[in-house]
Amino acid sequence: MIKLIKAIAFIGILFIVGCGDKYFADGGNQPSNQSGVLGVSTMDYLKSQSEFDTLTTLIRLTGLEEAVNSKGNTFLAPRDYSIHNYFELLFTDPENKPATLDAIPKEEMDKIAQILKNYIIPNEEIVRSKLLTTYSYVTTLGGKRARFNIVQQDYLGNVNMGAKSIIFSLNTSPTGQPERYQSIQVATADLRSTNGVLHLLNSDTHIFGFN
Amino acid sequence: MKNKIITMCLIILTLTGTSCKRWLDELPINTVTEDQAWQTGSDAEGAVAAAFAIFRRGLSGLTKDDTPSTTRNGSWGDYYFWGDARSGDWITPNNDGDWAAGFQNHLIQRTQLEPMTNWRLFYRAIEQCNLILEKIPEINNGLTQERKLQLLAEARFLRAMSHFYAARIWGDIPINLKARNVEAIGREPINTVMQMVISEVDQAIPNLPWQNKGSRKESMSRGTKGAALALKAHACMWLKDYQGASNAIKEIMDANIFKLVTMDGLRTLFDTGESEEVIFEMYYDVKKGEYSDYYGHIMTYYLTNPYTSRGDLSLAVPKSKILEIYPDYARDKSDKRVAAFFQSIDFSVSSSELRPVFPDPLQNGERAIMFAKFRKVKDRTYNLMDAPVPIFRYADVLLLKAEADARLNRISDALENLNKVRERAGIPLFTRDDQPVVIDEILAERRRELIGEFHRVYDLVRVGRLHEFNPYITAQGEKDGAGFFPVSQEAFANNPRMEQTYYWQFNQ
Repeated sequence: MIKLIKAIAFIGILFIVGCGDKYFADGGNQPSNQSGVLGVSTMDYLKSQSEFDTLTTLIRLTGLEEAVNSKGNTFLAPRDYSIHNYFELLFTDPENKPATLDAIPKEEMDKIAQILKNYIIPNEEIVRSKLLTTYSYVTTLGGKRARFNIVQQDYLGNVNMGAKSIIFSLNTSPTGQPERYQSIQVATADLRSTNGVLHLLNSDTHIFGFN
Repeated sequence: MKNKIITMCLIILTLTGTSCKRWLDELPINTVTEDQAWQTGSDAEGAVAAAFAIFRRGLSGLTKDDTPSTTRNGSWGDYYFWGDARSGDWITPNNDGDWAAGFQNHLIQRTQLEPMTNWRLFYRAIEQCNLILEKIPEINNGLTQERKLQLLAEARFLRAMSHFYAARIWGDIPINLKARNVEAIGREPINTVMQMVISEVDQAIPNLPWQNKGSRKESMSRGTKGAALALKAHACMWLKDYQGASNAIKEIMDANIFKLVTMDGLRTLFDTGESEEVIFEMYYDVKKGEYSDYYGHIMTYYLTNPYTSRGDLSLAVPKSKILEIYPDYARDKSDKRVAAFFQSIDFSVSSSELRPVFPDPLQNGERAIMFAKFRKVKDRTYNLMDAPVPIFRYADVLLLKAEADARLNRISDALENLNKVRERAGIPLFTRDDQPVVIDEILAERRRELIGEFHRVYDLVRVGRLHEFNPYITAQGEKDGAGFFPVSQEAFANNPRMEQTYYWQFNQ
């Protein structure tokens, strides 16, 4: 009899403590004003991510930290892999490759600064909800014309029902010549830092400097 | 009651007794047995056609039907992996691990790549040819003597072709000239294989026609004198018999069957294969239900929207490499082949629409230029891709003759043929006449002209220079056989005489 009571009690305890049903609860979508909020400045966020440490070092070396962190701007962040491929193209001879980023010659650093400025859109917050499939144009800090639009994929054969992504294109031809845009897909969009908007670029096909 | 039971039993007995004919024991009429198969002329025709079909499947690779252990659906275009991937010219813009492993010569440890090391289908084609050569001589019903000799010559040619193609991939390979082998056969040195190829081709040539019946692509997808001579020339080059190669190609040129088409004519050459430049190819035909599915044609991997429904590039030649390969284009945009072989697509347009093609072929960035040598009309379907698999064409043999002549120090003959190809491409004629420079230039011209046509790696392995272009292969590694594919595990089963390539015994 005692055994039976013990067994029932044991099973009872199992019932009570065994199954939490918390995992059934779905928090739903995060409210749009909280989703993607970083709570830190653009630079601080990039510094905290290992896939951007080359980028942040270059920003520091070119003295563009303030421009990246300025209020109400948009920054499109190329990943380290894109920059790695840029250096592969720039220093084809492994003998002449600088050992550290600090060792890059001054004239190359100036070029890098000029390139970096084209990833900064001053005084404008570009977010996905405001973009359309048609093109809209802005000017980068480097003075080039940049173009934004939305591309929507197909889903299981249903036209225009798949994932939406931002396409960022830059006019790469010199001033006065016909415009030639090179486009990159934004991989992670609409991150909101304390100073502005941050988009992370797809590094598979994009090489730093629009090569 | 008793009567009823008896009647029931009787009915059941009659039913079981009469209703079942013993059809399970009968042979279905569509089963073909050995002694029925080789009787009439149409059996012979079918057997030869089947041999070519097996060879074509051998080129595109083992599929799930062939090896249940592979995870691959459909063929993977293995000819690309064998002949192009390791040339150092290619990248995978979407960072696909299997492609990258192929580029880097890591051919064993990835299970997805293992089937590519299997030569089974080449030997299946060879066995079919052996059977034909054994059985057709006895057939007289519905087969003229002339046609019989031609079919036998075709089988002999294809047997040599399969050995040759396999030898370029695996180096030393078994030579199999019997329909049934009871004893295990081991690998023969590549030079012995090439000598066998040449002697077989020499036997076949007298009975082969210059052209077969049917349209150009049908004609050139079977055995012809041109294909056999081109095969002989290639085999001679491997044996460093430059005079032999030069003579064989001279015969092709003198026949006046083939010519260099115009730049615009290259589209037909690569899209449909109905071209006077084709010497030997393996065609597919949509109308006969032959086309790629998702994984089918290697060529679907080069293309994206607007040619297929792929959104991203899977295989490409990077822009810096294109400028390096085509220095004339880099200097003054004169090389017309860049615009004919490469395209830039406007990737900022939604993938639900047909994306426009930029007028400048190299407008896109380093990793985003499409290799569009093989393409089709814009319709965004994966399948219905039926471009032929190229094997030999006239520009290829012209350049091969140029190389042979240059190595024999007949520089003016070499330059004449080299310049025919350069002239079509719209680049300046080559005039320097010191032998090593000319040989180098011819090799570079072959790279420019035949990019993506499964020649580059074989050319480099033949001259022992693969390690100069592929950073993952060392000079010593190449001497040990890194330029060849490893032999599949399957070839070792029940064959004590089989040996792995030296390099692959130590490198996985």
